[in-house]
Amino acid sequence: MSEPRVVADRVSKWYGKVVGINDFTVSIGPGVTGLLGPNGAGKSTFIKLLVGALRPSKGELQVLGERVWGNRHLLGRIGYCPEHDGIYEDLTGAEFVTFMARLAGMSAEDAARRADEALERLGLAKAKDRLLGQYSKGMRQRAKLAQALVHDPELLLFDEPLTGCDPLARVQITQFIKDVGQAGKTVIVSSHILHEIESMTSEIVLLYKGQVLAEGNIYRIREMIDEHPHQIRIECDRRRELGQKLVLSQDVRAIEFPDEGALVLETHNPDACYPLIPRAALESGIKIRSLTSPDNNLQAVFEYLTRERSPEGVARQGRAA
Amino acid sequence: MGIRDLGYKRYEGALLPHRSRYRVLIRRALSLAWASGLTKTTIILGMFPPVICGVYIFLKHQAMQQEVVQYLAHRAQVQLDDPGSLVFTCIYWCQIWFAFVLSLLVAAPAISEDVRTGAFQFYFARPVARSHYLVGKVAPAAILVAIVTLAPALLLALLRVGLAQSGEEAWRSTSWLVGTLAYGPIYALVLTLPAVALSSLGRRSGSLQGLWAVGFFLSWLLGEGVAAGADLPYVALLSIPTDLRLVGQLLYGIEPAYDLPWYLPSLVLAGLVVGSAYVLVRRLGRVEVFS
Amino acid sequence: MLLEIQGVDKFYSAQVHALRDVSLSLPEGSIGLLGPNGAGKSTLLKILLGLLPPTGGSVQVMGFDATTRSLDLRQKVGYMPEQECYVAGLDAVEMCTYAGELCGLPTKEARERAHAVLAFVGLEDKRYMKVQTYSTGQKQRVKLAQALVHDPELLLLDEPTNGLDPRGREEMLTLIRQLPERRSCSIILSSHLLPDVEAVCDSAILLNEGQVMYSGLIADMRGEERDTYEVRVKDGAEQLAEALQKAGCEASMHDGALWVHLPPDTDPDLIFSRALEAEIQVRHLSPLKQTLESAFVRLLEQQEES
Repeated sequence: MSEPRVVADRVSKWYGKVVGINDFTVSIGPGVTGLLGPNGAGKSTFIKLLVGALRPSKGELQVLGERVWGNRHLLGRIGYCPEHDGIYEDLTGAEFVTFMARLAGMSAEDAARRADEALERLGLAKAKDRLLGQYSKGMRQRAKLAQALVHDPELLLFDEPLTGCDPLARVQITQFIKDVGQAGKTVIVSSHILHEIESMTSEIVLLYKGQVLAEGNIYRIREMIDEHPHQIRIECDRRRELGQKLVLSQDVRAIEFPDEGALVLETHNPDACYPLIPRAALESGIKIRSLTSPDNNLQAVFEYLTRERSPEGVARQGRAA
Repeated sequence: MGIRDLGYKRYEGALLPHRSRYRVLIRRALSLAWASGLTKTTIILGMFPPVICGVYIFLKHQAMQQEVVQYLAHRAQVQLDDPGSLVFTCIYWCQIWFAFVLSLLVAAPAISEDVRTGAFQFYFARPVARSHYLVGKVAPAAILVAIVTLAPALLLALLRVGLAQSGEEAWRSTSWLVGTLAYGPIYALVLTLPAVALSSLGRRSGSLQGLWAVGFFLSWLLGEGVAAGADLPYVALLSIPTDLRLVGQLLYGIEPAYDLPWYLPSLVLAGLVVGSAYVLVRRLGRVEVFS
Repeated sequence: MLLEIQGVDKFYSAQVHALRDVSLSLPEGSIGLLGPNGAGKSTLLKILLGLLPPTGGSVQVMGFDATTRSLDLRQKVGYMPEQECYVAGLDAVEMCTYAGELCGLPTKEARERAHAVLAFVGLEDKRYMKVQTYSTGQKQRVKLAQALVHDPELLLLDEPTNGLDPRGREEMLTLIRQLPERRSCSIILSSHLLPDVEAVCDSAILLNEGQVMYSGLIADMRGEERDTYEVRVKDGAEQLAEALQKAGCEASMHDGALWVHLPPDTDPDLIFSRALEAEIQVRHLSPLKQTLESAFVRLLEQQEES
């Protein structure tokens, strides 16, 4: 990964004795990274630390190479789209984004011009002179996104950017976020809704009870979860015959016939099994209609990692780190 | 024998008719009100003055400790020979405080609390009509006010009738029994309906309660103050408690405090009650059950 | 028929035309209610509950006329609101008991149902605590419980997974899915989260600007491209694409996946054999299905153009 833009080194934040995050070590580079976790895992605490709204109780937090607490200058390079809503109802879209741009330190003309550009980019050019109070939820989210990037920051933090948005707005905003990530900015998106994150990125940071539970590429992480061997689901005819052939391989840990017309294979060695299956099918003339990995996705990763972890699982965690 | 299915089951029991909603709503509101420590305290404390009055009536009637009684009566400026006046004094001057506190605690936040917690969706997504809901909001408060006003007054009146030593005396005493029966409901309505109407106007219970308190007492102060100070008796009509007092004096056959046409206070109160009912029905009719 | 709606119009004022000539006829089942914000979904829900009379047209829900028999209709309908909904001062058991009583259940039966329904939604441990102290996830569950107490035949769910974390969302969807099987009730699910709708519903109503854009099966809405497959490989996607094109297929890249259109009368075996030859690991192969999301966007864009 190229130079990480956010580096946390054993960062902790406690509210009195209550933990927000505890002994956090993570580094995040450019592109879109998803920040997820159950409620109370520490996502909001982490984001507030990144925007300088909170000060770490312990540890070093470097954002874009500098410490962010009390660093007003750095805030001009960070864009933040918060979760909460409902302020500035009496400003128009253009006024709101311009105001935010000025708060970031831009001059009046620059702010107005960039605000127009940002609103244009988010598809709000026509609505920019209407009051925010009259905007639909999707439009308000887009206005918040516009103010987050009006000053062209290098780091963008989006807290639940798709809340309340209808499907059309979701598709548009998701694409927008992906584009921003592709342009080389560092984008951190926090969300409850796993398929939203999946549609934006494959890089995640998974939080759990105030600590980092996993970070990196979803699929690599999945491969590392040993207690839950890889599942491959095959829909074909003559499934038992295919099963018979596959069961002979040492890499196949288990074969299940869950419902009509399907066969599910479990393996600790997907690399060996994936070529094995079509080979076995083609040899016997068995027609495969579909081949999928039902639990090779973020939902499965999340579930497997956040369920009560077994002692072996915990020990294996130590090894991977 | 065997393993039972503990999952979701269907309901195949009886269903009560729609009018049972009145009872359900009122009962629940009363139990919620009783759960509040303040309300409980107010009701219990509100029992003391009537008990004291009752004891007093009893003692007086037994012609015991005349001097003490005369002295106390003189202090309270109550006409002893007119028991109606005593019951009225009790139900009005003593109990109005408790009645007001109850209307403040129970009636004034009644609808605004529901607005705040989104309870309209809870009620109206069910077979509950707006009329059920309305009655379910006003009746509990009115019942509680009646418990501290009508009920004790009725008991005191009955006590007096019971203590009568002759048929004629008993007959005379029933006049203000009837007065109590008329006064009680008016009292309850006047103290609760406007408060509930007020509570339908917003969602901040605290502010609306404050508004009710201010409206009630400010009107009292202004009404009585201006009327006494500037000798303009008609201004006293602006004060809700004063109107209530005048109507009570009328019903108990007591010399009215102000020299006004007898029908005016009743008219003002009737206007208040009808106006509040109108506001309530309009507000509920327009309420967005869910946005 | 679950819903028989004919020519329904709803004007809030001369300018605000919330529903235009809406006609729907849907049988029992699980139906998704979709549409952009302001499309008229909440108006339609209110009309279905008999809380709002339409300006014109007729509405029959489960055989009841929604305008004249709204109280009887609401007996059979359970509504799970999107917004906050509780009665101040009550705990979960009291609230569900109250909910049952308000639907005409005698108190004892209501209390019994309340406990059963709270167990069903998984709130047994917290049922004696006041609802106002609950977390978002717990409040969502209570909302579902109070909608089920009177055993409705039709359940209206408005954004049921709002604010829930991933596990909570899975559990809620599992609960909802169980209901049609256990109770043979119908469900109308209104949500912006199309994967939720896909997980629960078979049909959908798509509203836009007060009009019905689509009403019918989700499978028909999505459509399956015949002979087109979505293929994902571990490494070497371009290589495979080339090899397949040489073999007569159309192959193009879409966001990390390969879309392969096979020539007529060819099996997907072709894809596997080419991949094996080139030593490329095929990790995913399935008939290309539009997601509900893309179907939705497509339908809306079609309407904008016309």
